[in-house]
Amino acid sequence: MNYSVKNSLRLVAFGLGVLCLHGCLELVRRPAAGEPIGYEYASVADTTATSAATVQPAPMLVIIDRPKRSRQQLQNIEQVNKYALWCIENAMWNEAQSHMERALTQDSLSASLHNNLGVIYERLGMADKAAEFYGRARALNPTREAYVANLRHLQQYQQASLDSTDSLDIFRADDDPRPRTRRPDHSPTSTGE
Amino acid sequence: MQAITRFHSLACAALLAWGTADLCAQDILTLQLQQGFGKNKVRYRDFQWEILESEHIELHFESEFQNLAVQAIEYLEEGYDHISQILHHDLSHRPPVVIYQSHYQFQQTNIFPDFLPPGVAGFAEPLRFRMVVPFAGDLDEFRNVLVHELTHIFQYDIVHKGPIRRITSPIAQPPTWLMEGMAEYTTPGRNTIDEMVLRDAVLTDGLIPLETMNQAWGQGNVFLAYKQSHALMEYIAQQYGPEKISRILRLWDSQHDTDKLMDRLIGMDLKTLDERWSAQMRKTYWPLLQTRDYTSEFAEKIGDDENIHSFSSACWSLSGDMLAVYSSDGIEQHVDIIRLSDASLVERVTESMRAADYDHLSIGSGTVAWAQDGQTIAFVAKEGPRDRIMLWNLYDKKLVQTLTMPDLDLVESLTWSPDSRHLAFIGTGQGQSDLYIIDVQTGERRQLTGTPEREDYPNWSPDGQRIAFSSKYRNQFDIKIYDLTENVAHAAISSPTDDLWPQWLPEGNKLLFVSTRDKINDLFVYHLDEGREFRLTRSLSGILNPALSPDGRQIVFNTYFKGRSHLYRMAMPEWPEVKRKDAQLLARVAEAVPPAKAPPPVEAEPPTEAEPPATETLAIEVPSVRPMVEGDAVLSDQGGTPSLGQVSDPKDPDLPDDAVLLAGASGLLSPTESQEPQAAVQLADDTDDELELRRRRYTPKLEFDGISVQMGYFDGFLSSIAQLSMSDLLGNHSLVLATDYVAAQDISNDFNFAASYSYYGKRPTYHVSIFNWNQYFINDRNFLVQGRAPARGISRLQQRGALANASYPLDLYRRLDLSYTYVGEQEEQVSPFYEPDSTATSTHLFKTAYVHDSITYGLLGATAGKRYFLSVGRTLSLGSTTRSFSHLEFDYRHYLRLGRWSVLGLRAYSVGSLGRDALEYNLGGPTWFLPFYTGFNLNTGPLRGYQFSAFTGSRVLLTNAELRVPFVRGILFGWPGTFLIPAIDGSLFMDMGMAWNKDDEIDLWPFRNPHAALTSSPRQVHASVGFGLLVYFLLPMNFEFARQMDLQGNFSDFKFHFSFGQSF
Repeated sequence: MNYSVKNSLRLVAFGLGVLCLHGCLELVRRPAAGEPIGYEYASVADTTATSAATVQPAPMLVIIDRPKRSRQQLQNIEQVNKYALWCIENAMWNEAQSHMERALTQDSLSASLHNNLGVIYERLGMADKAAEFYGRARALNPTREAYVANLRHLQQYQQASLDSTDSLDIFRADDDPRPRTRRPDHSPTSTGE
Repeated sequence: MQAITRFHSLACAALLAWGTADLCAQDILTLQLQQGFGKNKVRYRDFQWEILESEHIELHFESEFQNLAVQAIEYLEEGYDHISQILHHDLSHRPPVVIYQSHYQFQQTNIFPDFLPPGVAGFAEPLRFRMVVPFAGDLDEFRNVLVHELTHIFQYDIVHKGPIRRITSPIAQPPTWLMEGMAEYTTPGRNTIDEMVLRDAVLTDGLIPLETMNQAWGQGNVFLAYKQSHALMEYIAQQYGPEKISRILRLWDSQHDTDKLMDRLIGMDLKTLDERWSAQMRKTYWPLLQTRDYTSEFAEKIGDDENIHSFSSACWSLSGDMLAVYSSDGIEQHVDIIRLSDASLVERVTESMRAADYDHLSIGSGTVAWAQDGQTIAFVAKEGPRDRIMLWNLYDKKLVQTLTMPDLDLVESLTWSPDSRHLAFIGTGQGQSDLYIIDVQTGERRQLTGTPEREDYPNWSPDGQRIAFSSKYRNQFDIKIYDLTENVAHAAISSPTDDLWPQWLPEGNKLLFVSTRDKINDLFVYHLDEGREFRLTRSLSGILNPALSPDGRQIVFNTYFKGRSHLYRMAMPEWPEVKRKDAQLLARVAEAVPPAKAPPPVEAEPPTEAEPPATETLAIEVPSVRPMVEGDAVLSDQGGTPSLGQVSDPKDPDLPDDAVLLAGASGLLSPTESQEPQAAVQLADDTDDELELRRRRYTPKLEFDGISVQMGYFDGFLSSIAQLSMSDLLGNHSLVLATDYVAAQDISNDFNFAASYSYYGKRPTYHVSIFNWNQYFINDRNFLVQGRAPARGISRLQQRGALANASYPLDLYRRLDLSYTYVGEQEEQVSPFYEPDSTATSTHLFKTAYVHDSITYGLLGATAGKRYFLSVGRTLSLGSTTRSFSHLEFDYRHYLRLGRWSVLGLRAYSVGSLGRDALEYNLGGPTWFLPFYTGFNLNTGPLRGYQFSAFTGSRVLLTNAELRVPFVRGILFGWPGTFLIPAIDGSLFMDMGMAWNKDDEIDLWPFRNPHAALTSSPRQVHASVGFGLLVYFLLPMNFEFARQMDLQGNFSDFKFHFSFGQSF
């Protein structure tokens, strides 16, 4: 193996390492703003983004001064987020929810806790609550793209869901249960304070 | 450790007698070099013993728990009268009784040399009629164990008829079930747990056949065997008269066949007795099916039957999705987090903690608690001399804090405050158990109660201001509430039966609890504001350890079914539903009973909130009415157990079935009387005067333990060893004297002796021996004597010297050993003529070792854990006639569990004897060819597939891997005679090893081809594979087939090995 190939491999390995590290820190790779969503109805959702806003108005964006936290507080938030992730990996969403809610009672200005609790609510089917918490996370930390994306994604998903079920209504008997569309695989983020 | 040392001295003496020429010179040295494993009996403190003498008892105690000692004397004197009347016997002497203030101090006793595991409540020994009992936190249980063990002393006194008989026939005693059944019979009545176990066995067809009952003590359900034996004794007393109980032991004197004994006693054989008693049991318990529910009818089992773990002390996670439990699979115990839905393991809290962070987990009730913030799990583990509270952080997944309380030995029943900052618990120390709370951040502790009576099962109210707990008074648990703001406790729930495990409902004005109405544990809810109680269950099995979920909607609890404990969950009904449930259950009972016995009329209509049903008015008054049908049926059929202070006549209608004993008094109290207002029990100072107690200090005095005589014949020599053992009453001082007589043609015996003294009174233990021992063996010289045929020469090896061993246990699993050995050896020709040998040698050996042993044992070997030692020795070279060598030995064994019983054992072993006079070790064959094989101490196997001791060398390397898989557990044979083989395992193994000397040429690869000729040079690695059958019958026996191999596809034929003992 010649020298340049070895260097290339090292470079690739380094790149993979960076990606892994980034993946660990950012637990979910969200699509960036404006990027198309990779679902079948993505284009529909994309075009109905404006109407989605009319269906469910986005929460008013209130910029809150980001509070300064002690190292201990940051560690606590980190711990809770980490534990919530562990719970989710073990399919214990209720446990994750309980701990996040409890953590919020102790630190109500943590953007990441709000965001992650939003993810959990969304997974548990509480879309309204999820939107509210995404909104709060965005208000607490407007610079964090993931929070904005989560909220937009939820709204797009809701709209897409509404549109697709509406279009299928004409083919379905009234008493049939409505098929549930595939949900995006959301997971919480780490602190991101 | 202590057992090992004792064995060591015996083995030393035995081996001296059995030695052969080649090995004699190394016998004592190799025995001293041989390093043993084993857990340690650690004396964490120096006990200061005193003696209280009463009319019939000699009680040994420590002054710091004098009140408990006085109480114990009272119990024992009452028990003495009671047993004496039942057995029609008075003891021939005052039995020495030793009490300890906790189980962990009891574990330090030297009266029993081996490790006493958790769960042993006490013991009596037949040689010196001693009994040893610890206080476990509950005076009633303490009394029961004292009476139980005192009954054994009576039994020994009757059966062995004094010291002479006891020495000559110490083993001949009636079957265990008769002895234990009798001891249980004399002990105050069964509690609901006893009833539960017996009832379950009857209802699930799980009774142990009488003919195999004795085996149950070795291998089966021991607890059931106790209860069944108890019930059998009650049956005999009830059907044929109480005097038959005392007749059993008298008849045993002339009739040792149990079948014939029963025939003479009650006119029927064992089988008929078993049938009739079983029928009686079914008549007693089967009617319960009419009015009670199987647990599966009102609750859902957590986990399935395939789950080998049993769970207890369950507590809820924050969300209610998970439970933290104490789990056991019969081999290992852990604190686990399991999923509520299917009991699958989510996280093992105590992974790798045993031996590293604690000795073992505590098995008491409520030893696991999950903080209400969901973040911390507290559990109790024994580390060193006492329990500690360990705090494990869920987020960090590690142990974050340990709470130690120097004055408390036992900690149980943990419960967290709502703010997750305080823990309430029951602590036992200095002979008393009380309720405490501790601040986990500061460690500040506060004692809430202070009576000698038992408190248990605390539970913190949702507002954090009160703690509900069970408190015992006059042999009965009631529920009290301690107000933390006013620092006062008041009675909350009081009934004629035990009220246990209070749990606050989230509203804060209701308590869920278990009550033993009708002698079966059922769930009730008590409304504190209304002062009413409502029944939630009418269970067939009984309910233990209930835990309410954080939202108050679910209850998990333990129940006992088909011989084992199970975890169930049930929905906690809404409040109106609770009332309806109570009415329904009461109505069901009303329907089931005959009209004459029916309780007061009950509204059949479901009650409403607006119009409370008539049943609601029962509340606490319901039990006092006591027409709870099935409970009465049980009691009247069983006849009850006689209570202390009075020999019961089962047919006596005046004796209350559920009479309870007044603590500290000899009379009986009816349940109604026991409801009198409570007052703290005071141990009267003038009790000494009443009982005429004499008090003095304990001074050690050596007494005979026993005499053993061993005789044997080996290689033309007849040898006999007489050994005399003495020790003081507490077993701290031990003296062994051994002498030997050797007889052979033309040999005149010399005076051989060995004397060893051991001291176990402190944490380090000491052992010294002196010996002068001559051994004779036929040498390889031939002589012509007076023109006759050549005669073989006989040599004498004289060994004299001294040993000194010291051992310091670091904890239960680790210790340091240190020893010094001096042996002077001289060999001389003694027959056919005397010829002194000028090659006298001497050895001064110093050796030290570090030993770790934390494995768990099964019948056929280790089942989990690891053990290893590193041993280093060096002789002191003082000239050419002194031996000079160094010793280095390392043995590491790790046992990995591959299922419930399957285990993979891995071992690496090396030994090197370096220097001018290096010792030679043997390698080859199984570890033990025969237990008494003379060369076993030099063999370093197993290297199966090869001849026993096929290879020798001063250096040995050996590795072993063995997979043991269970084939059979408990196979019962009916012919010849009834006997049980408890376990048969299969094994697959692979051994690799080599032995060589310093200057040998070594060829490590390839391994030796089994078809090639065996050469002494170069030395090669030998390997083998094989399979075997491991059978436990009295002791482990191995039937193994192994073939040599070279790892390149060449194998020899199979070679069969038979050996005793565990291979490694």
